[in-house]
Amino acid sequence: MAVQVKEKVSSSAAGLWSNYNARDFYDELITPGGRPRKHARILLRYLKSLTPTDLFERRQAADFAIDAMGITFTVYSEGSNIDRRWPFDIIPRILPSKEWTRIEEGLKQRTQALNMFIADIYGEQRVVKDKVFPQEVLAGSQNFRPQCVGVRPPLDVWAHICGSDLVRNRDGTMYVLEDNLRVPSGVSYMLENRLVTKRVFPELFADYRIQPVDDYPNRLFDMLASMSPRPADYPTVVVLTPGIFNSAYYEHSYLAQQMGAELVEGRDLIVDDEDRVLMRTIGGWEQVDVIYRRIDDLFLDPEEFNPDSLLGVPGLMRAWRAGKVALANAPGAGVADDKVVYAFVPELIRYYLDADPILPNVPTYLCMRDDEREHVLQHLSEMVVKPANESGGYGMLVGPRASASELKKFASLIRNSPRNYIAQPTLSLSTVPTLTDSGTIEPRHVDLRPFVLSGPNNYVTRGGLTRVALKKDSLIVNSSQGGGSKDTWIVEDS
Amino acid sequence: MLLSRTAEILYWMARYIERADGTSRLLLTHSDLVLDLPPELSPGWEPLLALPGSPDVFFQFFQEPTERNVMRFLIGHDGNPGSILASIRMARENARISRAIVPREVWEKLNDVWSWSRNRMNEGLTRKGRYPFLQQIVAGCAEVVGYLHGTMSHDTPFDFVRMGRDVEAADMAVRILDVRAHRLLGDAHNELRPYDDIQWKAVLRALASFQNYRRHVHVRVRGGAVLGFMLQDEQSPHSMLYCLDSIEHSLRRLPRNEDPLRAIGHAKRMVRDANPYSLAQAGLREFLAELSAALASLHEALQTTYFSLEPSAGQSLASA
Repeated sequence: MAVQVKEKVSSSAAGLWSNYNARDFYDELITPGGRPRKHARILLRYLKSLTPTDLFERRQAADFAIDAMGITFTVYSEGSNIDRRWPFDIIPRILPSKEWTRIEEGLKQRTQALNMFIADIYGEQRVVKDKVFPQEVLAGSQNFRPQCVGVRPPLDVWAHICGSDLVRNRDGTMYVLEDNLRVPSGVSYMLENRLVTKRVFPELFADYRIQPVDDYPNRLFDMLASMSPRPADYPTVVVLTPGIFNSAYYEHSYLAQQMGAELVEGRDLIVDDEDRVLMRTIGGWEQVDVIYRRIDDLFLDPEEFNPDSLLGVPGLMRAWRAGKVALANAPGAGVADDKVVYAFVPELIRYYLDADPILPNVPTYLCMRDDEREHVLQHLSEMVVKPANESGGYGMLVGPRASASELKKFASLIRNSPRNYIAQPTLSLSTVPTLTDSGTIEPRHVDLRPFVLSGPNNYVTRGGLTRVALKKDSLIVNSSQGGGSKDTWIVEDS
Repeated sequence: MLLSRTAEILYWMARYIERADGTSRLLLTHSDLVLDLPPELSPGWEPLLALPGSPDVFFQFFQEPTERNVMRFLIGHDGNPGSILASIRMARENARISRAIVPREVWEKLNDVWSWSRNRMNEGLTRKGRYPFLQQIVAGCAEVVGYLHGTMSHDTPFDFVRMGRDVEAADMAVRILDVRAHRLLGDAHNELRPYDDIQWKAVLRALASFQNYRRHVHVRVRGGAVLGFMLQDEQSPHSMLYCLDSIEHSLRRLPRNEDPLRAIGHAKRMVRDANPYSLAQAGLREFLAELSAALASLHEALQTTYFSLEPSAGQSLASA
């Protein structure tokens, strides 16, 4: 009998799981006792029934699907751009819908407060006058745009599309790590990951009630169309991309295609002397109503920002201020995704909405405050230090992993420009079982980026993009730095 | 509504697909021809360099137009922007940029043809591997074209795909005739006579038209008749007049078509008025040069009308 069992184990993938150990991290699918969490039972039973060969074949099928669909991301390497296959792990990350509902409410609350904050900052600045938000933080903000003061975009919405990064700590609490309000990317991969998973594990979609994600492009289009300054059934909506060399070009093109919107570059557009934005078409010039821009503020309009920008459209800010065209996200919205501003978000939620934050912030030390800075400097080797205005995981210090010279370098960076740095305790990001290159299944750290649309209605994607650090013990999930992704399932309780 | 830049990308995507296809066919038929002809009559490999702007570039990298060198150059030498691989790569790039409009299958197939041909190029450079390699590319291009015709809406963007294909096919016809012309004309090479029809057949084959010719022209394969068919047949998709007619049809559906229509009218008159039987005797190269210039001005007219549209004072908006 014992022999039989043993044989069964070695011929199935169950053996791959016998050494699975997430140590003291929170694992999204497995309890500390090594049992599947309730929402992961079906998945785990299924995965364990597969032989290692089966698993290998499923992964190959995923790779083929990704190649065939041409899902790529672009990396800069030695001065040239290379398209790489989108790194994808076939084992999905699962969240029960009950937990998700609360997260969704929390995200809506948060983006609502952020939008009210941005509108206030470019309007009356009540929040500053009421001393909830310090004047000196605003003064030091690199993403505050004086050009936007006094502008009132439709519905007072500035951050129409927000991508907030969530992480789960050791105790199981889901925290908001940061908000991306400028040009958050990744949503196309969320959609494609689902397509790939359906091809790889079609059986599981029969056993689970997995909430679909594919209504995002329609929601996005409806939100954009609702901003049109010219009332019409089908306003002209375009996606403005920096071009094929941008690392997120794949996504720009994907979203344009899914929405049935035109994908334009700066050179396709002009602003005429009536402040209208026109695009160059084979029939002549055509007026554009709404621009989903995937170009950073500073490159949008060479007349007002970087004069050398070839990516933008001269006069675009003029057209926007005149209300002749809508821009999503509005220029200047980035003022609220500064990592120093982040520390104030719980206060902003209380101030604008008179409510307690549903989703907590990661405890954050502002290096601009003397006492907090001293604390950071004394505990530097335990902290994660982030520059206020970088994204993509660049310019960060991960204290516990840093060398003595890196620690020294950051200590002096912080002393020289305290406004530019924040510090947070090193979080123990949760893990999800992941198929490694060598064919074993091991815990890997993940985060989660849901996307929130703000318009006449608010909408949160069902789940989001789960990014996974494919390297053992790594906490860096960015695809440019060895990160991959997983499909994310919000499952109904059966 | 179609963005000028998108129209241009679709036009070029189709041109590059057609160019990869046409070049592959030419290499196949030329290789056959060299096998058929006795060595002393062999045209050698140099005539193939008459393809898009090649000879000057070729001699920057190679000294002798040997079989190996010419094949390497035309199939996938890095220095040749007109090579088969470069054309596939450009077609793929253009499809990639226009994924918002090109059917997904087209992009996926081009992606596939590109990675396949890049990986297998070394086999394609061997004598034994050449035939299957080029066949596979011809088949891949046919599949892409099939997806384009079968799944893409036959609307305005498609007209630019069609025009790109037609302009390139017309261009290719001129070049292929040119490749053969200087060996086939006049009575100077009497000793060539027995092999004449082989060479004219190669022209027809390179233009994928041999079967059509057999069906529609009930005469032996003779210079004048072949030229007449290649220039003036209205049904065979690689004949000059077919391509020009098709471009005209597309243009008539497009807005602001006056200039390009004028250019196409000029080219069509030139082709209709030509006397293939006398051209087969003399003056073909001059005629082809003139025709090539007419095609260039057609491209120019498309470019200025639809692609490069400059801002002017007091923009008038396009009527929907």
